Amino acid sequence: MVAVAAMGRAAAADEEEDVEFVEYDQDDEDAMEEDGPAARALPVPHIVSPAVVRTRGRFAGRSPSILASSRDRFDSLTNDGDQGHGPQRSIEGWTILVSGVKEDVEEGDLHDVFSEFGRVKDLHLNLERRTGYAKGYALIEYESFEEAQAAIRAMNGNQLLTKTVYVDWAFSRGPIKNITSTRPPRPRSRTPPRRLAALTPY
Amino acid sequence: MATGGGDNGGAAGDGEFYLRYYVGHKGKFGHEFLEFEFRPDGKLRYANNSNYKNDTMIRKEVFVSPSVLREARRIIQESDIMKEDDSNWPEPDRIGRQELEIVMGNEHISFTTSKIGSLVDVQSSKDPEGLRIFYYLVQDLKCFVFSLINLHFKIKPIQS
Repeated sequence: MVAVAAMGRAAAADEEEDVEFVEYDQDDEDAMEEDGPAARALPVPHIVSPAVVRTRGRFAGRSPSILASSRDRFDSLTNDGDQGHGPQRSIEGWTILVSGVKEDVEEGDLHDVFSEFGRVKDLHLNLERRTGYAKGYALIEYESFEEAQAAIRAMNGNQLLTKTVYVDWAFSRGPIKNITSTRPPRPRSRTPPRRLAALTPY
Repeated sequence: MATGGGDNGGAAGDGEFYLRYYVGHKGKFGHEFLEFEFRPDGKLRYANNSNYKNDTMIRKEVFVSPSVLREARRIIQESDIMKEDDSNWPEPDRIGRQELEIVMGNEHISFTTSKIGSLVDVQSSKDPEGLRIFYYLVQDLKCFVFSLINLHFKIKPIQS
């Protein structure tokens, strides 16, 4: 394991130097071996709590992930300092998610229903690749907050072609609060508090 | 719906959730890849580097609502990917690599395989059933994320 980890670091060093990688504890080997089959698998990224125990998957290395970077700038529409509750405006309007959409619904049906609340600027009714039927959700964009909010209020929990649909904002101004984890902590955890650092916003 | 995920792995459950997908290769245009992740707090990060048409990397992030996270969970739950194993899938090669990492409930999968060109590759593999699930799930997840990114930022994600 140590050799493999060293190889991983060497490979990572070949990458762009300004990229930070997901960090894995190197002192966790014996903890992993206790897990038996999980010993070959990659450790869980620090971004989730260490209570996740059942790991499966081949250890075949891992690409250095740019997503773990805390230095590279990721474009966002959120104003700094404006993170909070409530929906986030998209660049050209307000986007809502419709879930529970019937598999044989057609774009025209959705367009008709949701045009009652304002002009539908954009509508994505994505299809399941295996079957070609609707995957079960739609994303709809309105120009104004009021139109989107009216659609949510009128249609959430309501029937759309005999099936109950749920309608909500697609984007939020800030992180989801109260990330609840109902599982008990790992009983033999030797987790120092720093491992939870990735859970904090950056 | 099948409930193989245990008491907190259900599609509507509020247990732990994390998803990361990567597809990429290193070739004459450098490291070209597409990667996205959903974090437990709702942050969706998306990165796409294609040096062929433009040499700037696209990096976007946005917080999605709990409803969007639930929909991602549902898509994963219904695919039954959490019951699969990548031990008989094709190894990553010079053509490329795919990685799918999911934490849902108390389960964590970290799968790696080569790029899959078409269903022919799936059928001729040693685990066509499992690889088919992966093949379709990845397309459905990409479709979901592309729509979210496209609607929010009005950019057209590049198919990698």
